[in-house]
Amino acid sequence: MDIIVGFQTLFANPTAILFVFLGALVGVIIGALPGLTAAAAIAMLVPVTFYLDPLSALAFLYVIGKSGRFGGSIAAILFNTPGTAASAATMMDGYPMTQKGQAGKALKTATIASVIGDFSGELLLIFGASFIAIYTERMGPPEYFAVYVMAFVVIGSVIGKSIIKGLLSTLLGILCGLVGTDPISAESRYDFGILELQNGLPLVPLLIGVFVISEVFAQAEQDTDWSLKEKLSKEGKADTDHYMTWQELKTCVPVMLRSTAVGAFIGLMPGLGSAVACFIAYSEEKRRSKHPELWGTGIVEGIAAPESSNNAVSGPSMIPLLTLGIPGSTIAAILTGVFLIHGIIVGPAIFSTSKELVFGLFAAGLLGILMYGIIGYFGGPLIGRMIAAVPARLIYPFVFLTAFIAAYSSKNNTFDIVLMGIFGVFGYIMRRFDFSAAAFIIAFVLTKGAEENLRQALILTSDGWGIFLQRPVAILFFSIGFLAVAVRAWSVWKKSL
Amino acid sequence: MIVGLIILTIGAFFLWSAEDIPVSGEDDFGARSLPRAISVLVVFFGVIWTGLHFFKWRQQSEPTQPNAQNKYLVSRIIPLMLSSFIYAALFQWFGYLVSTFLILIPVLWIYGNTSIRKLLKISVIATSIYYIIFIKFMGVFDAGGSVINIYELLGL
Repeated sequence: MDIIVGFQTLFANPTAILFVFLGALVGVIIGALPGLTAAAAIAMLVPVTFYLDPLSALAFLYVIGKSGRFGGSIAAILFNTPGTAASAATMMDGYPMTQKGQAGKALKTATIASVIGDFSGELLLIFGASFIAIYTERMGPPEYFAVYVMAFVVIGSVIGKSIIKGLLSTLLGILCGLVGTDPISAESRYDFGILELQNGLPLVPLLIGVFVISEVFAQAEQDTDWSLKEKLSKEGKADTDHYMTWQELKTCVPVMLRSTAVGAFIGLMPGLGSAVACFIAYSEEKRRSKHPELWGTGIVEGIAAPESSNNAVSGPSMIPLLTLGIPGSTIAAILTGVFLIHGIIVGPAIFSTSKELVFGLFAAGLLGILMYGIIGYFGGPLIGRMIAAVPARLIYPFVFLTAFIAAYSSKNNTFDIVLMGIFGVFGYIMRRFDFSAAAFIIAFVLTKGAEENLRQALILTSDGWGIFLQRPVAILFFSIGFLAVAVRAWSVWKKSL
Repeated sequence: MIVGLIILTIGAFFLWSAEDIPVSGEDDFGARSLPRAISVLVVFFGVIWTGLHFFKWRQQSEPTQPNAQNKYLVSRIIPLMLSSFIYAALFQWFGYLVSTFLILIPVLWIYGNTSIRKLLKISVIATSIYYIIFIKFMGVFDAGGSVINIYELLGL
C-alpha cells in the first residue's frame, strides 16, 4: 500500500505536518472571506513555499485549496455571500437556516458533507491516479499533443458564459505562454528586448496579478463600508439548532454519496471545477427529492448536496495533472508551477521518480481534510464572527500589501512588481467583461508542454501532420475536444431559441 | 465593441511582432509558426466579436444605461491601479519601509478609511509588522533606496 509509505514520509517530516495544519486554518479563513478564493490565497502564498522542502510546500498549498473550498461555505451560510464561487449553491439553503437560528446546524452539515466529499475524492485520486499513470506513461508526443489540444479546447469552450470569450481567454493565455525562448531552437520570442522576459513571463507575479490584484480592484468598486455583523442573525434556542440529528444524518448520507459521485466525475473533466459541480448536485438532488418545494427554505439536504460535490472535485481534479502533466483546474495549474520550482516534472513518470513525495502529498491531503473538518466543526461560528468583525475597508489594503511583497519576493526583482500590476489591470478588465481568468492561467501553464510535444511529434516523422492521424489515441483525444465544443455550442444555441 | 477592437489590436500586434522572430531551421515548424497561428486566431475571434457587437449596437434603439461599476472608476480603481506602479517606483527609490508607509496611506484612504489619525497609526504599525515579518524574519532582499537609504540613516 503506497499510501502507507506516504503517511510514513509525512510523519517523518514535522514541518510538513505543521504546514498541513496551517494550510487548513489559512484556507478556511481566506475561503470564508467574501471575494478571496482559494486560488488567490495560493497565488499569494507561493513565495512562502520557496523556503520550504518540496513536501511541506506542496502540502501547504494543496491543503489550502481543499480547506478554501470548504471555507467558502461559512460565508455562504452566515452572510448570504459566497466566500468562493464553489459555495454559491450552499447559500440557497444555508442562509435561510441561519435566519431560522440554525446556523450551527448548517455549518456542521456543511463540514460533514465537505469532509465526506473530499475524503471520497481523495481516495479516488490515491487509487485511480497511479493506475491511470501506467497507461499514460506509454503515450508519446503525438498523443500528448492531442491531450493538450483537448484541454485547450475543453477549457476554452466550457469555462465561462460565452464560448468566444472562453476561447479568447485561452488564446491570450497561450500568447503569454509563448513569450521567452523557443523550446527547440532557443530563438527569443516576444521579449521586446527586455532581459527579464527572455525566460518567459514568470508565473508568480502573473498569478498574483490576475487573481489577487484584480480582486483588490474589483472590491474597490463596491461600498467598502459594509460590515457583515448585521447579517449574523440570532442564536438558535433549541439544542437541535446547533447540530445534526441522527435522523437528519441518515437522510443526508445518500445525498452526500450521490453528490460526491457527481463532484468526482466533474473533477476529472478539465476546466469544469467545483462551481459547476455544486449547482449540478443541488439541482439533481432537488429533482430527486420527495419534497422539492422545501428546497431553498433552509433544509440540511440543500447544504449536503452542494458541499459534498464541490469538495469531491478537489482530489480527482489532480488526476489529469499527475497522470498527464495537464492541470485541469486553476489550483492544479498553480501547483504545476510549484512542482517545477522544486525541480519536479509532473506527468505519469512522477509515480516512479517521486513516489514518496506524491504519496506523501496524498497523505497530507487526507490529514488536511481531517484538520479542516475539526476546525470547521468546532470553530466555524467563531471564524464567521471573526470575519464579520473586520470590515472590507481594512482587509483589502492589506491584501494589496501582501500581494506586492509576495510578487517581489519570488525573485527579489522590482520588474515582477510591475508585471504584477500590469496583469492586475489585465485581470480586472477580464473580470469586467466576463472573460475567464482560469482559462487564461491554465492555457498559460499548458503552452510550453503543448508546443514541445507538437514540435517533437513533427520531428519524429517524415509524414508531417499525418502522424496525428496514424495514432488512434491522438484521434480519440482530438475527437473528445471537438465534441466538447460541439455540445457546448449546441446547448448555447438551444438556449438562445 | 471596444473590447473587440482591443482584442483585434492585441492580435494584430502579436502577429506583427511574430514577424521579428528569427527562424534558424532547427525543425520545419520553426519558432515563428505557433505565435503566428495563435495571433491569427486572436485576430479572427476579434473580428467575429467586433462584428457581432457592431450589429447588436446598430439594432439597439435605446441608449445604454451607464454601468453602476463605473461609479468608482475614477475615484478608486484608476488610483489603485496607478498606486501599484507607483509602489514599485517608490520601492526602488526609498526601500521597503518608506515606500510601504507612503503607499499604505492613499490605499487605505481609497478604501474609505478617512480618519487621518487612524490612517497614520495603522500605516506605521502595519509597515513595521510587514517589515519585521518579510524583510527581517523571512529574509526578503531589500537594498534600501537609491535616492534615500533610510536604513543607513537609522543605522538599521
